[in-house]
Amino acid sequence: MNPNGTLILGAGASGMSCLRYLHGKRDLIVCDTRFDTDQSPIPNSRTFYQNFPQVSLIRPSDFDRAIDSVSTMVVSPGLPLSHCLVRKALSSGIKLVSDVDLFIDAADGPVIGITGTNGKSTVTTLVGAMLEDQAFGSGGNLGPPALDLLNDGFAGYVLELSSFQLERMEAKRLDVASIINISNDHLDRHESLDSYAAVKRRIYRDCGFAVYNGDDRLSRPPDNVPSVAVNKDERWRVIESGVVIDGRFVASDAIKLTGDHNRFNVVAAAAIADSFGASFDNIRHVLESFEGLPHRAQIIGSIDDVTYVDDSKATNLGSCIAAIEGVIKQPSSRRIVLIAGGMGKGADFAALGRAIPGHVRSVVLIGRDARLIAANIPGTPVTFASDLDDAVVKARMDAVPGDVVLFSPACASFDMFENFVVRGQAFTRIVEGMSK
Amino acid sequence: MTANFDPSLVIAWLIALVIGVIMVASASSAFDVTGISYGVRHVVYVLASICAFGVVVSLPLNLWEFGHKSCLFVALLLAVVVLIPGIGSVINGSRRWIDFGFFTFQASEWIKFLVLIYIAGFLSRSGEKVKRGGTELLRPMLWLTPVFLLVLIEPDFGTLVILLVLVAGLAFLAGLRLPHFLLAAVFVGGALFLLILISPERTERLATFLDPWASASSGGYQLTQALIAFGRGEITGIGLGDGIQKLFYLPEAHNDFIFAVIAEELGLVGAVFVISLLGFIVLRGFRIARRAVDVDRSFAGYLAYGAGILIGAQVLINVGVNTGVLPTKGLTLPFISYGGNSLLVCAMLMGLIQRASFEVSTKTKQGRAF
Repeated sequence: MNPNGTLILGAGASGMSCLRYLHGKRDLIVCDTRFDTDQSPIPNSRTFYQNFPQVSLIRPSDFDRAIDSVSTMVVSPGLPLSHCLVRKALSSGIKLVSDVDLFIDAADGPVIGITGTNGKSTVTTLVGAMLEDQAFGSGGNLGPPALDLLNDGFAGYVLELSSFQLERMEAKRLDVASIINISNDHLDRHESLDSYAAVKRRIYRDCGFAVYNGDDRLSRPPDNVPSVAVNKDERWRVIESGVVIDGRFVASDAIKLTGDHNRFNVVAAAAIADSFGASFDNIRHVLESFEGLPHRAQIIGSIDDVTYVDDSKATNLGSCIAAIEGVIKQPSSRRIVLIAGGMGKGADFAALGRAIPGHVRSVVLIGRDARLIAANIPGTPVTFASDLDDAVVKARMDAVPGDVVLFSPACASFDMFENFVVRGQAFTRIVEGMSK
Repeated sequence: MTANFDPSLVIAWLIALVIGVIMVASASSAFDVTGISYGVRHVVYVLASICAFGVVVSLPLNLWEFGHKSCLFVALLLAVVVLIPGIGSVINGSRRWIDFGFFTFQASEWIKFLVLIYIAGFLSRSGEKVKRGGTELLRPMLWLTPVFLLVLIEPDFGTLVILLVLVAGLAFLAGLRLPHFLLAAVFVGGALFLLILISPERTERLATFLDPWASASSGGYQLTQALIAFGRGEITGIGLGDGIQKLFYLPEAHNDFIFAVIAEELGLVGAVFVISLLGFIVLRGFRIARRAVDVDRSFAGYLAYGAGILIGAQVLINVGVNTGVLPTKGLTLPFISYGGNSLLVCAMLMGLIQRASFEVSTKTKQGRAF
């Protein structure tokens, strides 16, 4: 048997985009550990067969036999490289390829890569908006998977890259690469902050131009790469009352996004867009109109003078704390009822305990790691809720007029929801249901 | 004498055997550690089956007709013996095999052959009575029912269905009147349906068959993988030996699911060719049978009809199972699937047809001489 097939391990969004891209190639095999299980996010096998009749969809128990006919394997970013199936494939000499590699090989225009622990989706979307008149398309970790952008006639591409995508990316041809910030996250999959940062910095290999965080030494590119250090560079930085973009002042009032972290994101995005010649007017126009992304500190509405904020995107501690600080910074000083919890991914929640005293009235906890979080926030009243509905009801009882109910889980959603988007939609639905 | 053979029948049969040798080698290459052992064993069985064909062809049909009652007795004996623990061995939950070390004897394959001889012998003697009234058939059924029940106990539901098709087909050809035939069909059909209902395993299989995609990662896995093979093969196939689906319906790729391997590697073209080839063999058998009946050699006629029905029904069921039209059954594709018992018995059925052709031609010539 000729081993020249390709195996796609993991049929999530990026796996399916690889399948659509590779469809028509000989000997395609798709293997997913969630094959036809109830919670499966992958298409059921019937739909799969109707769409891809020439593709084998197999269960993991047949993986060993399948790799005999395979020379290349695409591993979903959702699976760690230490996964037993990945190890098995590597030990039998199979070449690993990432969807980003496939994309960069095929892309016919400049490619911008953006990573960071928090804010990378916002920056990616901002850059995409700033370069929209140059026909750039954006996607990657968030939005359409990279390979799905290929056939839409874009002149250039803005990709959000996660550490898991960078970890398995071999291609080194990014025109512009950027790390927004690096803080503790995914420590269940990376050994330490340093190794996590080293994976992030793979984004800089042989890149043409880098934009990084001058306040974060971990985000620093190699010295031979031409770069802009946001906040170190006089012409690109956040200042007291606004931001400096290309040496010109833009007041905070003229920026629709709120929060310090977002002002930083705005400058980083502008620096990236500037390297492709986006005009200052165009950039300013985007800053005036861009409202932020759904599920990122998004105000859902008010009930009994209590504001409900959906920050479901906060899948780690760093972005939860950023959201708390964002609420605190608002002019009218308000107190927070925080709804948090889910899968903590090995994070140290002591940092949450340090961030909340004085600002958070109470915390309602849900999900698998609820008790672990509770143990780390002594001194703050804690309630446990059985599910999100229950949590919103309990938060409503705790809140007094003028408060903010902030749903910022600081955890991954997979113990209770398909992903953070579904989780955020559930929160929005519950709140809207209550206001009726 | 060679002129009285039907050369096209022999050629079609030999082509089918060659296809079988190639496809079994390809299908088993994926999981055969030694690489050739299944393929080599298959070649040995093929050669043995050609010898068996030679033996049957050289025996006058009178001999079978004379011994048709003993055949029933042997069939009954086999059906009992295979069920005795210590003699019959259990594979995949069924007690169907007698292990001789170098060869595993599969009782139900041989029971098909023996029942054919018996029923052909009975009908050639009592056919006239059958035409007058269905009750005449109750006598052989009295003898055959224990055989059927014993086959069911193994359990070998697939073989039971084939045996019933054989008996019904021959009874119909013998002139059993339609109302009687329908009555029997309804009765037997209802009984089979009940058998499915009372067995949780069969009910589950039926459910899996009705919607294999609903359990694609468990019970329906084998069948859905076979269906994917048909999708992958498209019109011309992806190339001999290059199929990958055979990796995923183990361990039956080289026997029950060989047709799916053919469809993947040789495409629609290959699959249609194989069906046409086997269909040609069956129709050729029916033609010889009709000629035999025309010249009043009814035993030869029933034998050839019955052999054709056995082969044809098995092709239909096997292809039906592979394409998801029929529920999964452990039945081989005649002449092509791996398996010594099936190859030997099918070769002997070919021998009977060919012998019938020979004897009928001889008789026709003699008839002209007078």
